[in-house]
Amino acid sequence: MKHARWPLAVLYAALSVVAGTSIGNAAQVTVVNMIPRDRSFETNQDSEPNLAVDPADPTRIAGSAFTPSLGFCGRNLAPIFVSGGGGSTWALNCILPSDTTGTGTSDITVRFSGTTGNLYAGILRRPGAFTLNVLRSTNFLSPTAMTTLFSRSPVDQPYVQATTVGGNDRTYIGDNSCCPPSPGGRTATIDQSLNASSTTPSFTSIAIEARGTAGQDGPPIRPAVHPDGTIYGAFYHWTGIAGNFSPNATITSDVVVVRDDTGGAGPNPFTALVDPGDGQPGRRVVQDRTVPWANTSQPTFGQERFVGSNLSIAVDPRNSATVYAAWADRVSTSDYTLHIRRSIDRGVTWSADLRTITNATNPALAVNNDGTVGFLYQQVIGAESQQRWVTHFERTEDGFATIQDLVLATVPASAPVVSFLPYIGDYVHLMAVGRDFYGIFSANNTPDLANFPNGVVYQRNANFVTKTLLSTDNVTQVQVSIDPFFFKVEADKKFQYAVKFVCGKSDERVVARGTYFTAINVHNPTNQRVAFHKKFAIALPEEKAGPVSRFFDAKLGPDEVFEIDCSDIVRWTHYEASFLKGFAVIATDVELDVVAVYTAAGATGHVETLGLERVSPRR
Amino acid sequence: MRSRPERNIFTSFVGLSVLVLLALFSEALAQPNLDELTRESTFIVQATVTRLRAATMSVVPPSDNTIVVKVNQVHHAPQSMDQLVGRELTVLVRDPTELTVGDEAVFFANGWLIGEGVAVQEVGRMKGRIDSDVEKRLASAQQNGEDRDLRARIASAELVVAGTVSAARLRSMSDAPKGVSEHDPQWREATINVEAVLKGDPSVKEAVVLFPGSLDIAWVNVPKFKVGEEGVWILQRDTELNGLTAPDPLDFQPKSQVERLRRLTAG
Repeated sequence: MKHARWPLAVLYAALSVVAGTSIGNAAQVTVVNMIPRDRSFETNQDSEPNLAVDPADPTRIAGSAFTPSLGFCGRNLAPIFVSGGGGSTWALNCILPSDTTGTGTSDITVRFSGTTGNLYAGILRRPGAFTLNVLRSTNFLSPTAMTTLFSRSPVDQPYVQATTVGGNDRTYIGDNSCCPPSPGGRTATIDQSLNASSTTPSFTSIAIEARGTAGQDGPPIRPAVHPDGTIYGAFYHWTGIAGNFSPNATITSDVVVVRDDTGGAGPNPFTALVDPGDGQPGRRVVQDRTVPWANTSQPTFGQERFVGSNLSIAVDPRNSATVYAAWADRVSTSDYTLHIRRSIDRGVTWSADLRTITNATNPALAVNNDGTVGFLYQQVIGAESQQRWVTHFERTEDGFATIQDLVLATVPASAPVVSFLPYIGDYVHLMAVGRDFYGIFSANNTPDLANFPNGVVYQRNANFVTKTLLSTDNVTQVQVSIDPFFFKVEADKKFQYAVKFVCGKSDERVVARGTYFTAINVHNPTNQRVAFHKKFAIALPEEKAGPVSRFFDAKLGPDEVFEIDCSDIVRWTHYEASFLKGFAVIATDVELDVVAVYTAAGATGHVETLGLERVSPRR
Repeated sequence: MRSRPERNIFTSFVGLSVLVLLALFSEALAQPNLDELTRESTFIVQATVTRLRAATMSVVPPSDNTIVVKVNQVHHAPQSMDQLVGRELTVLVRDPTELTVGDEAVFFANGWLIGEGVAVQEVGRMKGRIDSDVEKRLASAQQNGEDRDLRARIASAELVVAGTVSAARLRSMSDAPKGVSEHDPQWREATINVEAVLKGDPSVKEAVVLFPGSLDIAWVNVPKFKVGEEGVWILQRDTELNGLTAPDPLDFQPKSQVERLRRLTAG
């Protein structure tokens, strides 16, 4: 057999860097640094990331961060991150309205609708600080700039959620009508559109705060959408303020959850949940909590600030009565503590703390189709000069009684030096599509495998041996900065097909002399688009195991079929040999038709044998 | 009344003039407006068409309007992307009908996608190469574009002054807008010792400019000032803040630009 082009050791090492790891029952973890290769020169602080996965086609993913044009986009445009390949590769697409210099936006969040493929964004439009724009793209990979559907000011921290009902998109943007506050200080707002995919959608600004406040509510207003029409909203209800915010203050706050049962379409939206204590709409999950405000870089908190912007809410897709909320407050004198609570009766009553994390920020919750809860957060550990930001992703199937914890990144918190605030972000995002979790966080980008215990893929040029970033010329060293990282934690698939392949010219050592071909046909017999995975394991003679590739994303529409040929296997494995054997492994949640066609040619070059094998799934 | 020969000469002159004007007009039509093209483009490259209906990035589906070009010369490219010579770019062209493989042209374009390759969106195209004459015209167009942006800022300004910052301090809270946000600008004010007035009241000896002291992302691109800093300020009136501000990066220029700004202010 001809030797592989790469030495095996190098191939194994390369595969181990990109492959990520498996947990539990073969669940796959993928972590990707999203900065593209042709942007390897950049040293920007790409903080406060957000993520949108198209539920109708999870290979289509958009991401955002504080990412400027750097002169690349046209006037008045800035980029967002886009992936058409399930998050394994990323590009920047110049479709975001910005100021003349393309410095990006202030706050930004992104979300796909349920089934139409439309991408929505809620941004604070530059120039200025408090102008909300709701944007839409009907093709997020195209060069057409996102359309502005709605504009309003003064608004802070828009957080968009979207769904599709009866073919029409609905958007719910949680935001704070502050600065100056709306009348009565009832600033917590949901700007909703029930016809967001129409040519000229209409928007309604709904004040979801029913009580008087200490001037206003906190910045984060978070909606959560269930397909049955239940919409939850969570916010910090400020009841007291000590200090002048210049830049420090201490806030006394309740965490309030509101609910609407008709998708916001009724006469008194978001008033379905009434607090038994005061009879007002909006259930107070906790009361009189202390929330620190320090809008300067905190050396004891990994250079990040405290601005009470840490809130998350998620509803169980199987049952809209089950809802989880997470928030941050100060329990003792100098801590910043995350809490998680749960309601199983549509927000009427709430549990005690199911989980608390000290000195952490950016809680993000999601629930998958199995009812598994995902919890993403970033925690500061270590003494001041040695602090590290540790990004955790926890999963629980029993309300946090037991937890599977994955450390996605553990990176120095002292480098790079903060260039603006937020340092890593006032929020991150986590979502579930089907049984899989998708998330995004920002962190120090030193290319050191020890910083990424579950593996990592860098698109930008980097040397993991010298632990240095390299510019687009792959030579010039680039300083460490803050990058956005995409991650995906995939549940073990329900069906697995292991398909034998035999490809190339044999020299008679292991099989008869001849040229062998394998064509693996995969058919989607359902009426739904199916996303699945494929990987390849190479078998070597003399009982030696060859390299195993990572899983690659694949998809098929209803009744579509594709074929994996020998040339595809070579392309996916980067393993060039004149004769190749092994298994293709297809993992899926839906039963597929998998048929392998084997042909072989002898000395004449004409086909001499043909065999078909229908491959049964392993469950 | 003119004699017949005079009329013939007159008629011929008018006819010739019309022809010359028509020729000049059509020449003008054929020449792209370089000022506009340059102003609207982040890429100006001379390149050769290598493939039609093709793309260099997997995220770009090849279509009639996508072509691949090889860059021969870069006149203007974004920051840190000057190593494009010899590289292939995907270009989304406006009109592919007259393009064939091997054609060389100057492409005016804006960035579309940057990933494992670069794709740009064509703004305009000029046949031929970037020779010294074209280089001069492009440089002039670029200067005109920058001047136009500065003129616009000067036109909306109340005061344009050269000077030095003598003091900087937090603005009193009573003047600040109410409401609390992580994007609070934390307004500060800088006092400028005025050395020259380019626009506005010529008797001004001191000017106060409001600027955000906040490190927040919303204000990351807004000029911030410290004591001893020298330059030229293009000061805009902010009625809500009841003061002068310099919110655009163009609103603060190095002192070396004072004569240029004086010329732009006068013009």
